[in-house]
Order: sequence, then C-alpha cells, then structure tokens
Amino acid sequence: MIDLYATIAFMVLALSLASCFYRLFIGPTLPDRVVAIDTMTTIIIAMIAVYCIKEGNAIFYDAILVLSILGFVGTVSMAKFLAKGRKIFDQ
Amino acid sequence: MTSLIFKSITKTVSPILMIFSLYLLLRGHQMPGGGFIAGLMTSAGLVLIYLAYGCDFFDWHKRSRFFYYLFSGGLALSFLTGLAGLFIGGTFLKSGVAHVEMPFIHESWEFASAGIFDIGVYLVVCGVCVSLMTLLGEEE
Repeated sequence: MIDLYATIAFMVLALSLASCFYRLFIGPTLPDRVVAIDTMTTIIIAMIAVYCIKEGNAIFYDAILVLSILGFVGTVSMAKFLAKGRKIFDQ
Repeated sequence: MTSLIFKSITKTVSPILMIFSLYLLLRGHQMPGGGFIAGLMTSAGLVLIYLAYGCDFFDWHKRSRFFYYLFSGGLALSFLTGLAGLFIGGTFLKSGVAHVEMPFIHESWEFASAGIFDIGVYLVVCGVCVSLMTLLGEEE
C-alpha cells in the first residue's frame, strides 16, 4: 500500500518540478529564476524524504540536511548579489 | 546592513555545520559521507559567517594566502598517502588497516589509512571553495 502512496507522491512532486523548470526557462527577470531554483531544491528534498519512507531506511536523511543548508547559503548569497552587486561580502 | 534575522540564524547554524562536517568526515569510511562533502559543508559555514559579519577576513587572506597554502597542503597530503601505499604495500593508493586498542574504553578501533587521504581531500575542497568565494566577491 505504501508503494502506491509513494508513487502518487512522486508523480505530484515531479509535476511541480516540471512547473518549476518552466518558470526557470521563461522567467523574465533574474529573481524569478532564483526563486525557481530554491523551490526546486525544496522539491528534491521532499523527493529524497519520500524515497527514504518508501525504502524504509534512514541513510539519506543526512543528504537532506546537507542539501537544505547548501540551498540556504546559495539563496542568501544570490539575494545579496541582487541587492548590491558583486560586493556580497560587504556589510 | 545585514538583517538581524540573518545574523541570529548564522550564530545558531554555523557551529552545527562545523560539527556536522567533522562527523561526516570521520564516518565516511563505511557510511555516506567523506572528505568532499565535509569540505563543502565547512566552506558553506565559513561563507555564511562572512556573508553575515563582513569581509575583514579577506585582507588577512590576501596578506597571508592561508587558503592557498591549505589547498596545496591537502593535495600534498593525499599524494604522500598514495606514495606511502606504493612503497609499503606495493601499489599506488593501497590502503592499510590497523586495529588499535583504545586506552580507557577498552574497545578496538579500526584505523584505515584511507582516512588520511580523506583528510587531504577535505583540506583541498575547503581551500578551493573559500578561495573561489574570495575571488568572486572582490572588486573587479
């Protein structure tokens, strides 16, 4: 039964990943693309979690932690880049 | 100019990042982890700190070139581990295992020489990532 639920969840997540790709492709401005990439990171985290539940092992939970922190750092530095150009390390 | 929320998050998150990267480095022999991802996590923590609290670090780095030396030292450490495998074991990068008796807890601890190679990879990735962020963040 859990296989069926996991398959449905994978389908929904893949659909939302495809719509994020669409926004990344057509997105008129740079902030749209940044938000699309951040959302795609979150969706990939959700896919790893669903895969862990389906397989019944907890070995990929560390990958979730790493991916979320790297996505956070990337989004923050992109936001500072959009705000003040190349000098992202200035106060 | 950096917001208070971001500074508070950095104070909480960056020590957890450092500890977690050491954990990933040390258990990478038999479980998911290893030198590459541990170096990536450490450099993410450093970049987070410098994003939140300014760039006085860069003058220090430009004067002493610390991360270039870190990168070269890690590469030399990995290469020397490979050469030791060539001279002792017969093939390049051959790994040796020793079982060491721990002094107080009376358990045998498995020490593999691939761990030293992993520490070299860790130093290389950490130095390269922080130097890259330095070069990207400076003025043209």
